[in-house]
Amino acid sequence: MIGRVKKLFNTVFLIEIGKGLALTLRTMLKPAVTRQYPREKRKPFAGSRGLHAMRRDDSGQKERCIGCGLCEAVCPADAITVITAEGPDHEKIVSSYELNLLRCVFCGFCIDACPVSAIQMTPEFELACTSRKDAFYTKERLVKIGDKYMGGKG
Amino acid sequence: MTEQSKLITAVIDGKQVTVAAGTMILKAAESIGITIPVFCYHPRLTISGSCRMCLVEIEGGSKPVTACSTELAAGVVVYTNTPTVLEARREIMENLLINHPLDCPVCDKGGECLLQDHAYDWGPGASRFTERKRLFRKPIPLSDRILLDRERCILCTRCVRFCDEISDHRELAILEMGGNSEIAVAPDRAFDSQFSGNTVELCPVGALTSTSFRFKARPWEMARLPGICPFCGCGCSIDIHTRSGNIMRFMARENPAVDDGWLCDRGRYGFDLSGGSERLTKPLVRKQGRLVAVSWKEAIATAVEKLRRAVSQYGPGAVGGIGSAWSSSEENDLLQRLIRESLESHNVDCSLTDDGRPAALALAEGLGTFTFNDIDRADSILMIGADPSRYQPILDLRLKKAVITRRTPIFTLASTDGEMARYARESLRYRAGSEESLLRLLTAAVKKEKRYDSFESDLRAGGLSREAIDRGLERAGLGPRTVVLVNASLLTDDVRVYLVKELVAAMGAGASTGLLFDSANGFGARTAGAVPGYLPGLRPIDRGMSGPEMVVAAERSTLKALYILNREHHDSAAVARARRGAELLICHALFLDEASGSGDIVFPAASVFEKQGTFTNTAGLAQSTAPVLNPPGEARPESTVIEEIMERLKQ
Repeated sequence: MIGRVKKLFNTVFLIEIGKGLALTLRTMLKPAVTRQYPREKRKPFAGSRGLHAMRRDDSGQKERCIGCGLCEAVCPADAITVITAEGPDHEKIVSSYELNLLRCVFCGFCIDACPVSAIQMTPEFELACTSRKDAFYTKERLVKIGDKYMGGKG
Repeated sequence: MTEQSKLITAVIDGKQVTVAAGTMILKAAESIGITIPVFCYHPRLTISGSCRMCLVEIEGGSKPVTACSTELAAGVVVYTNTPTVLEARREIMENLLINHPLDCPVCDKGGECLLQDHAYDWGPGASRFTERKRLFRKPIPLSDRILLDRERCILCTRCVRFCDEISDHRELAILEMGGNSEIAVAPDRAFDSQFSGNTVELCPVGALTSTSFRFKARPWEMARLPGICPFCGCGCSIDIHTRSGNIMRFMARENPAVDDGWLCDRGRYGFDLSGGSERLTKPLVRKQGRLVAVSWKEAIATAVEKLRRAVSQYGPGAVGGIGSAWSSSEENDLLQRLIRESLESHNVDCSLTDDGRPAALALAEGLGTFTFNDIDRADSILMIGADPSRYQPILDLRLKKAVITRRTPIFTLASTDGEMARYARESLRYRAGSEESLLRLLTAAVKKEKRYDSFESDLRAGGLSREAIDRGLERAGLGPRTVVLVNASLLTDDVRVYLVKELVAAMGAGASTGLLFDSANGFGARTAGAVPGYLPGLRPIDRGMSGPEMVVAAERSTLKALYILNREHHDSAAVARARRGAELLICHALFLDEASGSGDIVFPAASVFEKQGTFTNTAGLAQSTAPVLNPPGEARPESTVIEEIMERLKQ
């Protein structure tokens, strides 16, 4: 009985609508939370896992990667392909390092696996591209990203 | 002998074990499933006892003993996992790791390394060594194929022992002493053994690496598929390691009936020959004098039409087929069916340069019965014209094993210098071409006949005499349990086959004979019927032209069409001669070289790693292989092409 009276009261005096409008009015007076992407960009959090980068070795001449293939082995998405060869001085050289971002799940296991911390992740999250080819990051492209985020240092 | 076969009982880790007296603790433990870590111990090498990793404790003993080199005594109680043993292993590991570099990420052995595995299982976890590690310039080439990283070496001496005991080439040694010890090629020697690759496989760490595999792949990235080495008549068992459609390396797969777990370098590093970007990928048909790439449909239709026309115009006798001693038995069988059944010709052989029939006759006459294990049991060995060191390297290791471990007397008769002459009790040289006289003289000598004057003059010119042969026979003690090894390419006519048969019969009932083929399937091509006069299973049939006869007939244009299954590297001249007169030359080829490029229809073939097939080795052991790669482009296994042509010829 009481419930039915209460429902009738609410219906007649538009109580629910009033409550909703009150929330709207309150929000109107608060500062806006929507970011105007891409004009406005979010500041990345520390440790955020974005695009990969390759650091340079201590000489600064070439990539730090030693071609052990552990990132390739640990990658759950099969996104990394490392091909190595023997250099002129019988040393191991990385003839090709390829990261397929179309497969990458940004788990960061490759970074954990790397014994020389050659591969790192940057806060870079804008990865859209217009062709599949652009999603393949070669050693040279990764080193360039490293230069951008780590200032070319080891 | 009675002492040897006596059984003893002891206890290892609380489990009772009964083994023959004289068994080492390590082997006894293995027999009941207890694994003891080792570095220097290898079941096929002598015991060195130098790494000390296999220390175990014996109840009542004063200190741990090495399990690999201590005989199990009756009634003793052995422990393999007491705190003392574990402590000993930890200390051995710590000592080994003092000078071992931490370069596992770039070491090719990483992932299949005994040191890595044992460090993980038994190592101390941390090192107390804070001084500088021993450093060497790395790596140093031991040969064109093998490189040595001295700082990775743990001086187990497996490689040295292999060279001393198995290949008996003795090229490797330990130089310097104590902490400066290092493996090196012995002074004034070159590490050019045809078995050098085995040392890389034996190396428990990454000290020895091969140039063909160095830094190319990590062990865990590769698929491992069993296969048969296709590069000589031995047919050794191999593991083929592939990564993304490429063969990376061959590893030995122990097969006591063939290879004893070893491989020769020709087999181990031969896979480079099969690859390359030069491969033929599309069928080619000659149009207006030029080879043009066409579809398979068109190529096969052209082949069918031209073969049909050749038969109807000139008769079946004007068509011939050449199988191959390097192709599988299935392919050879299909080729002889194409020629004999579909085209009703008898002109089938397995080589352009040699008549395949006499060796087939020899097999049909019951020669070629030996197995590799016969050599381990033989009382003596007679080798005629054979040079296994060059043509059947794994057989060479078998023979050396017999000489070294059993002092089996060998009597070699050869026209060229061979390595086996060094191991022979007696070795004689004959002049090439005088084989028939030699066989007659040998048979007369075995039978102790006096009648040999008629052919002795022939042999005298080659420096052989009855006296020398008598002496050889006496010193080698040839008798009923002799293995006679005959180079199959000496059997150029039927007379020689019957002479060999007579010789073996004269030896006695138990003698076994081996025909040594230098091709992967010389035996199988013949039993598959790709020879004049024999159907599969060596059932006789009308005899057509042999390979060399077909070449002559084609040159004179009496043979009009020639179908070549698989070319050999030395038959380009024969192909060129046949080309001069033949109207139709059909061939399957991996590469487009001068000879295959002279064909009218060229089918892109699949390499031996890209198709299924059975290969019968020189000891008559048939072994099947499965494909490990895909053929490039539109290349197809030969068998499917021949089958399709046969099908279309029926319509």
